Amino acid sequence: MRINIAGSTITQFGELWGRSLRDLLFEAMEQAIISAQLEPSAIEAVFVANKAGGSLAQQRHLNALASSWFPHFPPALRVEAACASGGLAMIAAEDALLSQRFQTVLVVGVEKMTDVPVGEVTEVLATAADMEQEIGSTFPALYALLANAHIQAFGTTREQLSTVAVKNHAHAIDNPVAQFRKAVSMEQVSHSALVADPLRVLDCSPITDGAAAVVLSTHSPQKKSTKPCILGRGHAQDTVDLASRASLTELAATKRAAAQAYAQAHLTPKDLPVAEVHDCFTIAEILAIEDLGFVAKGEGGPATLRQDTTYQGKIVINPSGGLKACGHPVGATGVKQVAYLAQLIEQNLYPLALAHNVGGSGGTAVVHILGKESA
Amino acid sequence: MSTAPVYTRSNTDWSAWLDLTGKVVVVTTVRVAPPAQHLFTPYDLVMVQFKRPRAKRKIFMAASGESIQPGDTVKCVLRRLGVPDATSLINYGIKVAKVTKVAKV
Repeated sequence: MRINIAGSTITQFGELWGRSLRDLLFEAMEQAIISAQLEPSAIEAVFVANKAGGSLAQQRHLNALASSWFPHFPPALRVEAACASGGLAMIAAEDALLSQRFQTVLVVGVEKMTDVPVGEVTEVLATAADMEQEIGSTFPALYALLANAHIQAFGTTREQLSTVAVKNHAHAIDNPVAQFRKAVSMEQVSHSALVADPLRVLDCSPITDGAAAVVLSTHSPQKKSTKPCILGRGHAQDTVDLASRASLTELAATKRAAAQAYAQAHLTPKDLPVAEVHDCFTIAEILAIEDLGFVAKGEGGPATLRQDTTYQGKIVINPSGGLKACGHPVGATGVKQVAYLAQLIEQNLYPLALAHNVGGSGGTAVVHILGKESA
Repeated sequence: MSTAPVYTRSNTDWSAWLDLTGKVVVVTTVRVAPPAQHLFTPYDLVMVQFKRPRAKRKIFMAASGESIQPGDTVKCVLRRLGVPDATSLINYGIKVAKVTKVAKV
């Protein structure tokens, strides 16, 4: 059964003082439905991705809030999987379509993060770690441990980490909804303040408000469709706590989710010309391109430094600017990745694309492969 | 928001860890910390591989300001885990301290 991405939208990302969680949620849903050229009544169910609406925006009943925007109050549910909430909401929606319970559903991811002090946001984000095991840790600290393990194993350098940030900021300049449409230099990244060694401020994705939505449908298009569809998808889990992982130089959940998606799409990593990967930190992009099979293990840093992962390279990684520069409204990110790539495919810029969404430090991973032809 | 009750409830066996030694696998220095640990910054966060009787890896805060490197031997010690506010209990638990070899005379 083919699942089409009938409509998609991404709101402005950034510090949006004038827009509430509700505003962002409703704006994304409305624009996605307009993009799909549907009436709201055509939406049979809503899947809402959100990590921290209760903590950061005092709203813990988001499924009902989303449903209340519609005149017919469709069934709605909220999905939470830390930073992979968006990707997992996609999986839940696809499962509902494949079960034939629904034929047209809406997936919306939303997060409002900038209304509370940075310290509180840091503490809320840290709850994606294992709070029973990892006291004193922060989200950057856990990825810093992964970065140092990668450095110890493969000699990954500061220059390679900085190149990820420089590249993604350069990509974001052409993205009108990106939070940072501003270039940064190698020197700026490499000399920004340390957060958790070796990760510096400009190695980290920002705190962001934003939302994204897609309309998924199994209805057959009446005429030859330009709409992209989902060719493959994968979802895998690993331990929440980092210390229990078999390896510190890979995210095993990413590898398993990718293997599922490639097999379902009958594709290999070499077939992909573009990908949005989960670069919550610069080291995360290096791990991702290795674990997704775009480069060999240990080659993520050198490949990035060689410009293999930008335009005129071997594969374009994070053309939106990624989490690093487009922004990371946590619950929205996984939906935004799919929405952004769907728009690139619809514009005939790429025939295929891969989206990779990670929760926490790798406890959850979701991979989608999009294209125009059904597998 | 305090994570102390969550952590303490799940780590009541701290006495079994006391004095155990292990080898540091990987380390980072935390410079921006959650509010409860803010006054400890900068502090090292280390992943330690323990041998028997607790052959597992675990992440701990380091006890002092000394520099800890991968490969160092560390020992589990009882220390304050957070700086409480005026109304909270003081939260104690396991941190690790570097084991310094004493030269034979």
